[in-house]
Amino acid sequence: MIQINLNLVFTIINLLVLYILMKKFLFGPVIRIMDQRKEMIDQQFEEAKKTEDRANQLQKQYENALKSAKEESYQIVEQAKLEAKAQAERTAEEARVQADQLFAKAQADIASEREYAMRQMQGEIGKLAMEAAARIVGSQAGEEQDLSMYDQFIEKAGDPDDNGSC
Amino acid sequence: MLKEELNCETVFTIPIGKGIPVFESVAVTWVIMAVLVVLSLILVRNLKVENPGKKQLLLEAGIGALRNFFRGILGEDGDRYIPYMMTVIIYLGVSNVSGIFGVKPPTKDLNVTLALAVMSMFLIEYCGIHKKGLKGFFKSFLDPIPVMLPMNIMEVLIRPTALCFRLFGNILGGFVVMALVEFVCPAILPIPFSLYFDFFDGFIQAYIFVFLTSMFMKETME
Repeated sequence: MIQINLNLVFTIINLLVLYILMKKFLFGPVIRIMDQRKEMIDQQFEEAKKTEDRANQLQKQYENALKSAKEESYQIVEQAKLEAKAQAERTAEEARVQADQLFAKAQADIASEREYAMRQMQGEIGKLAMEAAARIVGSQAGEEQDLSMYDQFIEKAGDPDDNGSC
Repeated sequence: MLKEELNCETVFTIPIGKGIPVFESVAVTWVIMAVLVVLSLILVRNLKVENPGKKQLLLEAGIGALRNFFRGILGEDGDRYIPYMMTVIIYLGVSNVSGIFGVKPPTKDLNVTLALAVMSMFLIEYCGIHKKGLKGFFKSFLDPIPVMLPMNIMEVLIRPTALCFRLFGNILGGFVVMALVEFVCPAILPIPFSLYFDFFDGFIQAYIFVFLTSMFMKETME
């Protein structure tokens, strides 16, 4: 009833042939298709992920840009404030310096004017003194002259004794 | 009459030398092969990557399930053996069930189960050699302790023998019981028995055969 013979070899050959045929006609194509689909899905996932990443990156970029713009505007305002303050200070300083200068100049002018006036007055006084001195000297030296003048005057005017009626 | 049923009939004899008898099991295997190839050709036609039809989805679900099953047992390194294991489970499933089509299941013939077991044996050992190299493979016979060497050598032959006789015994037993039941009461009564012995037991045996083979393969690869 049970006999082992060449049919064992036939069966092995059958199995090998069946294996090759199944692999070629059934498993090969089906597995290839499944792998292809898997690959496609993976690819799509990857692409979706990539797109998402890019979107996130863009969002971050925009946020950063917004933030930096805010910061920049703040900085600009701050700088403008600083500049304005500096400008005001400078202007005030300049004005003060100018005022000081003017004041100093005015003081110098006044001082020089006074000196000039003093000097003039001194000159005048000197002249007057000279004149007065001259007059005094002149009256001493001109006694004779005075006498002569006097004489001349009398001559011109006549003797007061003669015509004392005038 | 019953005894006739149990015998493996010679379908024809190849007239070489004394004549080589070709058994029914081999002939039925040819028919099964032809049916499987034709079915694959029909099912595999116009496979699409996108928008697969219902037929394709079913096919992919089936093959995907088998693939995941074997991949789960064999692991990453076993991918190259999966097509063979799938071929064996499909062939065993079909031939175990073929009894309901009125032919004798090929697996009822010891030649067929022995052939399957011999192929499993070579595959199991090939797995080990491919994974570990010749030296590592022979060294693994001394695991876990050198005393185990005789056991390990015996295991090489015992494993396929157990596979072979489990399958053969189950299918033959089922066949005998079915023949008896049909002999006693040819109407209605054989239906539940047939459901059990032909379908349930047939698929279970096919499953056990490939499950154990892949378990042994995994074991050898480790």
